[in-house]
Amino acid sequence: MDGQKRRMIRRLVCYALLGLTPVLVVTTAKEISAMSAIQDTDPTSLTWTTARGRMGAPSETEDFPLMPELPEFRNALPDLAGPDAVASREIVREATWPISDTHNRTIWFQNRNDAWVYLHHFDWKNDLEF
Amino acid sequence: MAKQVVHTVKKGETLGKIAKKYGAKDWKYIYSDPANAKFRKTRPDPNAIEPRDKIVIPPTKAMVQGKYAKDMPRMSISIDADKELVFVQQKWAYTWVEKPGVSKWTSKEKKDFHNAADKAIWARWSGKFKLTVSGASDFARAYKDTVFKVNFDIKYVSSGGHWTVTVTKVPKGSKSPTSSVDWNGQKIKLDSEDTKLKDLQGTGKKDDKQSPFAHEFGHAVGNSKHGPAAHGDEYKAGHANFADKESMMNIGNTLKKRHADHLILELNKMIKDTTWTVKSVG
Repeated sequence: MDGQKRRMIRRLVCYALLGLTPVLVVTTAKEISAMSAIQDTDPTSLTWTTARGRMGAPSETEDFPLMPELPEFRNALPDLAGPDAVASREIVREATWPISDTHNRTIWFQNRNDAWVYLHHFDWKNDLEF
Repeated sequence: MAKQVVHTVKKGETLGKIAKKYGAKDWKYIYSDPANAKFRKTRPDPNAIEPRDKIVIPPTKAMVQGKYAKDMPRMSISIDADKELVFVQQKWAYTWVEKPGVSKWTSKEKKDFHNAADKAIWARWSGKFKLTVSGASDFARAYKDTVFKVNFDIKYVSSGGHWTVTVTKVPKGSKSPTSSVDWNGQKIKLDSEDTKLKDLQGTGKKDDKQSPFAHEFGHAVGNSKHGPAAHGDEYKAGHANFADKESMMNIGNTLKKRHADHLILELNKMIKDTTWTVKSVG
């Protein structure tokens, strides 16, 4: 049993002891279940479509053009996408999902044959700034 | 507020001499003070004051406390009003690590890295913000026409730092690990490639290039969405300052007034009834 599931059970027991409403329990369980689904998903196999299907709507998305140098958070992308993609200022799609109470997962996609396919991902503590 | 000083005019004294005696910038500062309204009515000609006249001396630089300091979890701030200076210092306690296959940090490399960070931060942050004070305090009244500059410094310490700074030695050109600042945890992560300027705006101009040190320091000095100023990186679409590409906390190399928000919040807690304002940045 992973940490998320253990935490979920602990919360359910607490809610039951405190007499909280089932609605709250269902909502929390759904959120935790969604986060567990994201944690269990191999991001490298995802497209933009399958990612949303498996992990739900991301908390943030942004499309931006590749440049030779990008801000620290995105600085690995130019090398990964390759010089042609950078030279043509290819658009990259960035999407972020919470994967736990403390961490986010950002996945970047690049457009290939009208499909947004996996380029890179980064799991990061949601306290961090870059 | 200090006890009010009342001066009794002696034979041969002028307002100019009295101003000099108390360290006031000029006679007008004393004569025009609201506390001397009655005196002005009695002596409408400032050149015609008489012995035994009583004049209230408003707070002057020579009369008020000009030095203040406080140490906070993430930085220390000191004010030296005589030098017209606010000094912000962070103590950085380093941890040095290496990526697999990379040689160990040498003492010289560690020292050079710190010096490069210190130099970059000093060059891009120090002397840029020009602050003024207002308010009812003696300090604010005495220094109301003073323009304070702000200097920023990082100090290399072996323990007891405001920040734990982990620096990874990486191969040249490496894009990982990702440098970051954890405001709540008081942790900074940097790497040996952070000594290089970044042309994020793509202009090719040296003055537009961003120093990773200066940008990350920006977070550590209060430009954090987790801190009281509640704003951090600006380069993501949807941010209020997304279009301000030249900004240091966006993809540029220029400080903006808002980048001193946290400093101003803290300065405003240091001297009662004293409000600090960023007059200009440049």
